[in-house]
Amino acid sequence: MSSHKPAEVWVTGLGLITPLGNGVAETWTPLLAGQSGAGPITRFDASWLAVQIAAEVQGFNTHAPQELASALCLSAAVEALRDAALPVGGAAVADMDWIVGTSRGEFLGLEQSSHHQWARGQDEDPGLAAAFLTDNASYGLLDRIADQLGQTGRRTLISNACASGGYAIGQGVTRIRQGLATQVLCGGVDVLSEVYHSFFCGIRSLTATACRPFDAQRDGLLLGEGAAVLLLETADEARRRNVKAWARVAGTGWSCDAYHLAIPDPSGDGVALALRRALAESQLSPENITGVVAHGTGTVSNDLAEARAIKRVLGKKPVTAPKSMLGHAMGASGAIESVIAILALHHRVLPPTLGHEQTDPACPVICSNQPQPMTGTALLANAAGFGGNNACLIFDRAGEGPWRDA
Amino acid sequence: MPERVGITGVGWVTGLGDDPEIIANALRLARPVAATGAGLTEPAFYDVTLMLKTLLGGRGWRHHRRAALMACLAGRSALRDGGVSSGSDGTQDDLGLVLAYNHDILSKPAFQPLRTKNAAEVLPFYLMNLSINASASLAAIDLKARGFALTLTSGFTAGLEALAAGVEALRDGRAMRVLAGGVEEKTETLVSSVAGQNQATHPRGHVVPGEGCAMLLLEREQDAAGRGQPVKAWVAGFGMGAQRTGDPAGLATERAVRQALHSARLAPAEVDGVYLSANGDPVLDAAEAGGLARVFLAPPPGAAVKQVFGETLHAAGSLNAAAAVLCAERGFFPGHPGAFLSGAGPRRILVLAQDPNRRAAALMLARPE
Repeated sequence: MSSHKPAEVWVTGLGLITPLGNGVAETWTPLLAGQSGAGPITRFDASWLAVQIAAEVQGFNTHAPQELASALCLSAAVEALRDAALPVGGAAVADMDWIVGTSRGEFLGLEQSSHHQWARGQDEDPGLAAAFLTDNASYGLLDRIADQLGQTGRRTLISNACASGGYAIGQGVTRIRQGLATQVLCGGVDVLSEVYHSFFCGIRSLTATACRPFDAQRDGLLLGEGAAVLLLETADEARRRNVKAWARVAGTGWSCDAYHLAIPDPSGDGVALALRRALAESQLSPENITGVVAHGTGTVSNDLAEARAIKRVLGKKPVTAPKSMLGHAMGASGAIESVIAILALHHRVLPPTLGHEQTDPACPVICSNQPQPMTGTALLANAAGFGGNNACLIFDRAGEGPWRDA
Repeated sequence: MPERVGITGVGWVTGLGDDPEIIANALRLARPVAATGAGLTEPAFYDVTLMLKTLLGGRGWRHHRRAALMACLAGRSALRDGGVSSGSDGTQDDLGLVLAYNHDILSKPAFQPLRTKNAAEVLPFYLMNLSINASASLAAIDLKARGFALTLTSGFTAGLEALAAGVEALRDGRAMRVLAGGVEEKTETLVSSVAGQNQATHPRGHVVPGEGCAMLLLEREQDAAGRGQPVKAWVAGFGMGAQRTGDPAGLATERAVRQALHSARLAPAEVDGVYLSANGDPVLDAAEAGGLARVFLAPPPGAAVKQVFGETLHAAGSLNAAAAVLCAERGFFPGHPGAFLSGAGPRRILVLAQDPNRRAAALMLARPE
């Protein structure tokens, strides 16, 4: 559809909103120190639920629940643009592609509106749901953020459950490589939800104490929220603008387990397929991959499938699981962990996995509750989600760059 | 030149059934879906439930959303139409899926426990059905599509964008074949949404909601040729546009069309026909017409197939594209019986989608020479 010009894709801007901090630097420092973002749930009344902890973003209390996800994502997008030396509302922003991944959009607002109606003794208002569908819903979020940024180009919303953010970045890479876009703003966002929290309680997937990915005593995931946005552009465009890059996107890999709606293929075949594809695309060997920022949710089945796949494709590698500190931000997590992988490359250290004491012998990975220094130049970020969606991204700082100084 | 990607199979689920001949006849006759008029408070639907039960059977499917069933059925039909047997030819790792879908997220069973604050009422199964990507995932399981299963939920433009995303995935080597399309099921939310659109835009607005699914099988030229499969149409170009504030002039449509033409290396005068997004909403229809008027000096014939399918939101773009392929194969253009007297039908066809959130998409199709 356009002249094919395989282009090198660079990451020149990062934006991050997490329970540990509102910004890239604000998140990285406590993350490296092994701090936890977990605490009692305040977003909704969790008193009736078995698990009453989650990892909440702080500091957005003035935003209406109906626009909280938009606010988090907009904040991350603005940070990413500024980080890439691009003005919000400028001509470059108007023409760039905007791709966001989310598992549910502004669902929290819908829940709270329903509570208000029930408190007044009313049933659900179909009109409320209709408004959710067209305005406050997932794609209302897409347009609300784009409008505020001044973007009028291609807008895409991806909903691939917990792998949404990883898919959004992969889609951005595809468009740049094919010459369909010079710059793409992409990422993911999700906020906590009472409905989803209740269902995760219902399927007994949540830990009531601490999330300990790959640990022998792990007993479930910790739900979280947040947003991450990356500015991708061609290496040529970055050089023309005289900006340094955080990293290069060396490879992306997608796959689908096609196994079960909620349970990952225990063989890890689906994850392994995505890993192999990313590796092949990067033209790197397994030895070149220094470590893995794992999806690492802390559930028995997820960690087992992921660890087996990593071992099979890459060998036994150092891994970190940021969800132990940030919680599982669902559709945002693939993007958040991509940013963490890039920061780990930049600072040459893998963050700790909080609460990890003894690695499960069935999980063949190297995991630690201490920061793991690294010497290589390539890291892999993994994302997986309900429905067997797998997205894998490899970032590296090989070659001349210019890369940002550590 | 980028490698050409063609459509080699089409699968449908509509209120008219899944038989292409029946659908083609309805399009040829421009048979209206339902009586339309002022004050439409209980819009008529093409409801596919009974047909799905007949075609898929009840066992094993009854717990899943109707959208998932439609996606499975349309996907099977598209593979069959394209001469591919899913999962049985050793290529399941190379079959990808792009599905446009939203869903009735205000599911009463999901919200009931919140109302009563009773954890015992939480039915874990609904968690899976609450995932927007549940339909694509179920279709991937059913069709053994292990390449990937991407869900786009960008509104009325998503069904058309799904085809573009499928083409991009193929060119990027993410799969050897991609099933791309959109699905929408009848829900209370959809009815309210369209009714709200009717009331908000014009007192005589008469958008008729519909449901259905179209899936199109996409392949690179060399792959289709390698197995001797004829191409029904090439996907020649794509464009999208958006506006920050109200768009009565159709600037988003204009941008989308110009991009699609540019990427297809075509001039406006080379377009033989346009499958419009037109859904009966006076404001949206006027914007679309305005956008086209600024691109085309002499407007090509236009077809509005939503009078047959209804407004199917996330499925609309893919149903529009599927209709364009179907009619072009048969050498006619809906609503213009005399437009192509040679019987050859239109060769270069523009397909449009427009979203009330000031977004528009345009896809350029080209019939093989």
